[in-house]
Amino acid sequence: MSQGGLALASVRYAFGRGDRAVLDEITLQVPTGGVLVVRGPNGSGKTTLLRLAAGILRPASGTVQRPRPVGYQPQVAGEPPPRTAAGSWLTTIVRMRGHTDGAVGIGLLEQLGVRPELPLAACSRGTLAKVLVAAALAGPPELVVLDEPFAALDDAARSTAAAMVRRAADDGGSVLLADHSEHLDVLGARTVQLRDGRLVEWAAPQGPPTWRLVTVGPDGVEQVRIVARADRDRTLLDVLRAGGEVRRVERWP
Amino acid sequence: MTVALGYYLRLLLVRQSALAPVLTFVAITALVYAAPAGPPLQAGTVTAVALFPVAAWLTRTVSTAESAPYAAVTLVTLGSSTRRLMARAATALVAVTALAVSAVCWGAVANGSASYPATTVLALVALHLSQGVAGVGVGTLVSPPVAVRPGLAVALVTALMVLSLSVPWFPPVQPLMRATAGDGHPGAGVLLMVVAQAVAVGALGLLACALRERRRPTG
Repeated sequence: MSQGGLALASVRYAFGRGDRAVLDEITLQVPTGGVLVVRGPNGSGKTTLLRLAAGILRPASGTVQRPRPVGYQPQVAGEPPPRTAAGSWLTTIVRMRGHTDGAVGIGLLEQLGVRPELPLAACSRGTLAKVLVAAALAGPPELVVLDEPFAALDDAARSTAAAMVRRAADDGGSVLLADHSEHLDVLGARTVQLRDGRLVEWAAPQGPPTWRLVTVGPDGVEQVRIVARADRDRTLLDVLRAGGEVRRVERWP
Repeated sequence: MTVALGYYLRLLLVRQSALAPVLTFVAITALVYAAPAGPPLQAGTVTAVALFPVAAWLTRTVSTAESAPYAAVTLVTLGSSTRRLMARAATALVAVTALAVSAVCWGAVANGSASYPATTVLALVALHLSQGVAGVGVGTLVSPPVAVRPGLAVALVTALMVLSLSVPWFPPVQPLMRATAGDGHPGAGVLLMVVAQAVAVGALGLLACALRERRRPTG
């Protein structure tokens, strides 16, 4: 094991022999206490990279060194185990990881607003995502691998989950996650991008961020405005004070 | 490993997918002992042989009890595909042991005309368990993460069963049937050999699966 943390060296992966490599010459390190965010368009190999890091896949060549135990949150929540409460499943996963106190994850569930006694089969997609994120972070494990953990979460849960991820790293874990969202400042993470099967440093979009606001005035006329970040809140307040309503607020472009 | 075993056993119970192989075995056992079935070893051979494909079926049932994302979480949590393989095999073995014991007890109770001394009971349990171990080993080869469709899995196990029923000394079934043919009681050495051959089939299946997992991507 290296100095601790996750280390991938010259990793190559193809789905079948003779197939084009999905990932090629991937070298990365996530030190203890570090968070690395992987970005990239759909199909760029983010999930494959995470599955290699977690030990679900084995590289065709190259090496993966990972600390144990590992917490993993898959991107797609398939059919959950039937007749199983969220807290019971999470406790089992934590105990399987070697914790004597399986209940250490229950607090995380509750912070995310999930009742431990809720049956997994009755959970919505977002709630299942919360359970999977809590299970991956409970302990916390030495290595946490999260595949788009915030994608299915509402705004409140997203910031709570982001804070939990940061805490897992602060508690001595290494965190590797794939994500598309723009609200990851709290993670203090290094960001890389997958492009054509290779890792490159993430270049944030240039220029000041702008927002697209769709509002309706008191006269019922819809208006679309593109405003700077600094003017966004003031503009929205003005609309609301004037008796109008806000239809949509989104990043632009 | 104990936690994983409990987890898979619970899944097996709540999914109810194990009902089909279990009820099939119960039906076969009931059929064998519906009328006086003759000497204990000869009657028990039928249920022991039946346990071979049933064990393979149970193993596939355990291995498919989780959907793919949850199976991936379990794999990562346990730390290696070999550990998950062993947990699944152990779960199937627990179920097989329950079926083996129930079949022997059923025979001892229902096959009234025959006597079941302790040595015979022990031999019967060993024969059932060894056929079950062989079934578990073969079952792992036709179960996830090995990508075998359900129909092909059934065809492969059936083909192996037919081969083992028809080709002389083809383990695990033929050696058992030959050893218990006729009305006599085979010697302990012969029975040990039969048990060893069946266990070897199971161990080879598990080993092949574990080696495949070390060489190939898992999932």
